[in-house]
Amino acid sequence: MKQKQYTQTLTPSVFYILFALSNKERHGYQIMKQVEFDSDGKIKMGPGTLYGSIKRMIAGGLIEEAYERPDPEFDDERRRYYRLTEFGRKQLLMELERYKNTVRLASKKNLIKGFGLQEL
Amino acid sequence: MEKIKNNIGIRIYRLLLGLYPKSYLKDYKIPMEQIFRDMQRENGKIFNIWFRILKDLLGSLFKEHLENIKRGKTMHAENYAKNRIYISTVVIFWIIFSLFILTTVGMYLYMVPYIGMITGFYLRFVISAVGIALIILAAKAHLSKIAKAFFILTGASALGMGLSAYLHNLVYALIMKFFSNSAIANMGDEPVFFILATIICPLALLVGIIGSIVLIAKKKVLAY
Repeated sequence: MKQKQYTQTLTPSVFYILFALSNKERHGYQIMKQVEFDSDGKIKMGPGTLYGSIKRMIAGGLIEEAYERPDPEFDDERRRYYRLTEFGRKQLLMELERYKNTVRLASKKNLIKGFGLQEL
Repeated sequence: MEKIKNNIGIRIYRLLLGLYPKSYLKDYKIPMEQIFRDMQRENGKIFNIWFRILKDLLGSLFKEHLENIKRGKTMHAENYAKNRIYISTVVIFWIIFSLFILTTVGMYLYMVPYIGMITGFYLRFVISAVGIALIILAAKAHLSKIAKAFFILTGASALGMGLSAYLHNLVYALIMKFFSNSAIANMGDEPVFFILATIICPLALLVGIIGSIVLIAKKKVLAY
């Protein structure tokens, strides 16, 4: 029931957080930095925005807290790690598929000619 | 020097965190402080850090408070609905209980020579048990103060009737055991529990039942 709210297009913050967690579990600060890096500095989150999004994404079933720590010896116990759920991964792939189709369509209409995207 | 600056920074940030809703802070205060420390450690420029933090505060504070209000309203509505169902159950139970007890008390008072000792024993047990059940149900329900008082009075008087009857018989038996059968004739019957079981508790029960009927009829049972 809760998961229905994310079957629509994802917001940029949600998309980039999912993207940041797509290959490994990360804690808050790592997510923040990765989002900034992946979005070429366009999305700069602060702790409030980040944990607000995380809270809503957990409630929506997109991500979950990972209780095992990747490297417990060198890690601060207070840090919380997050990972994608199956549903979250599916939503991310669906979103990427949507982008791919949009780019393909734009490419067909020669809207993005010269970007080397024709092979999509 | 750097350490002092960082400590002052985290203290100010802690103060600002107090502006968020409590439910949000309960889950995320510590990780948010941790991020702030990480930012201080990796990005030494105070201006950059505070610019980002203040922008973040302005953006997220309003959102979190709004969400908190919305969630509070939903929870209130859910609790209200649950409470109504629960109170309806208590009221139905109370009606069945009152009918049962009025019938039983009537039967017990006027037909006592015909129903026998064993039946009397079990009836008193059942009356006491349903009395306890009503007290617990009424105490847990979100009833108006006056409704709660009348419901509990009904349950307590039923329990009192059953218990007083048992205690009366117990005192009677003890007198017979430690003195003699003729002692009862000389001393007279045990008066305290007898009066409680036959006069005070039945009267309190009637007050409780009538008061509760009036409150139910006037729809003054719910606390809000």
